[in-house]
Amino acid sequence: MYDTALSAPCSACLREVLIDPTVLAAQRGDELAFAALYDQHVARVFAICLRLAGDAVLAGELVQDVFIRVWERLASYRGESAFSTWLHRVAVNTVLDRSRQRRRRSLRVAIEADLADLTLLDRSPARLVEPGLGLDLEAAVLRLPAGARAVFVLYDVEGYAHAEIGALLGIAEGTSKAHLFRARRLLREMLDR
Amino acid sequence: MNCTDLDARLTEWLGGSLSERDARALEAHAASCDDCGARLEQLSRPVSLAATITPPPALRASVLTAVRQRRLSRIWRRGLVTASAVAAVALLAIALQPHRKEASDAPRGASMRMASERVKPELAALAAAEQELVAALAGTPDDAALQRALEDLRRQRVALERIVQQVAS
Repeated sequence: MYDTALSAPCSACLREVLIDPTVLAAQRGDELAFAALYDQHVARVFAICLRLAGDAVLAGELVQDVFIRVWERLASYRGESAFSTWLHRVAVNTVLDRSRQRRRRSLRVAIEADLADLTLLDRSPARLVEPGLGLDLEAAVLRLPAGARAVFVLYDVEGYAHAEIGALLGIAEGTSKAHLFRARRLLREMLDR
Repeated sequence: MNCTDLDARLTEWLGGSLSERDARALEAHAASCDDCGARLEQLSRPVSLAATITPPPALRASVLTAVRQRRLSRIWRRGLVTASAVAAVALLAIALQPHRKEASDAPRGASMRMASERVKPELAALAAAEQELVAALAGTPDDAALQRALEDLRRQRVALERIVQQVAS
């Protein structure tokens, strides 16, 4: 007879199998393992922060916030998705939270305003990245208006669906699509100049 | 703008020769029409960006130091909470001393149970903090701040256990 008690893996064992050993070690408090995770993922996290924030100095601060948050929430990662997916979500949420916390206009307000504003680019273009960091396309992405840039990065680079972007940014799905088309057009125009 | 208008103006949109106002109108239509949206989505797909960007090298040290500081301060906070628990139990122990004739056996037993329940989570928190420090020290055994934190926590644990024993006896 089939013995379910013996064959069904316990949730803790399943976790050990599903989760990368470096992540498991970091979850147990191993700082060297955490440093290894940093080395493995920082370039992707930095790309997300830089492209969403549009500012290299701010991106550095955000990367720090992301990894502090990851350290504090590491225990909540259960291996349901790839660690990189979980980490990238933390990164996106950290950038959006920071934007919401700021006293000046939030990203959400900026996003709404972007579509109403008929000027081609932000009145205060984002600071360019540090020398050697970016290509022409990267610089062009950083010059996009905040809303168009956020949707472009989330959709075209990070692979989010419009419905998810709408939920994250607090905008309608159609608004997300309009931002995307505009972002692509503006990028093409900037690169063709 | 409708689907026919979009067809007629698509080349101009792709070539960047439409006015901003007309381009926005075309995009707004595509955002609300599934067919046109799918076409625009296909035709305007951009050159893909690299998934990664190398960060400034100095960022590594600052991030890992910040994480360590956050970890230490959390352990210290936990230590402070435990210290307050030690004080609370000490006060209770004094209150339960035998020369306090007014305390009858029955309420004394209840108070002892209460004290014991109060101490349990504090001891568990202390043990977890100790474990965390031991794990951190395994990675960097020469870290003086971590060593001091561990010594402090151990001292608190010993003090707490001594008081618990006194109260129990």
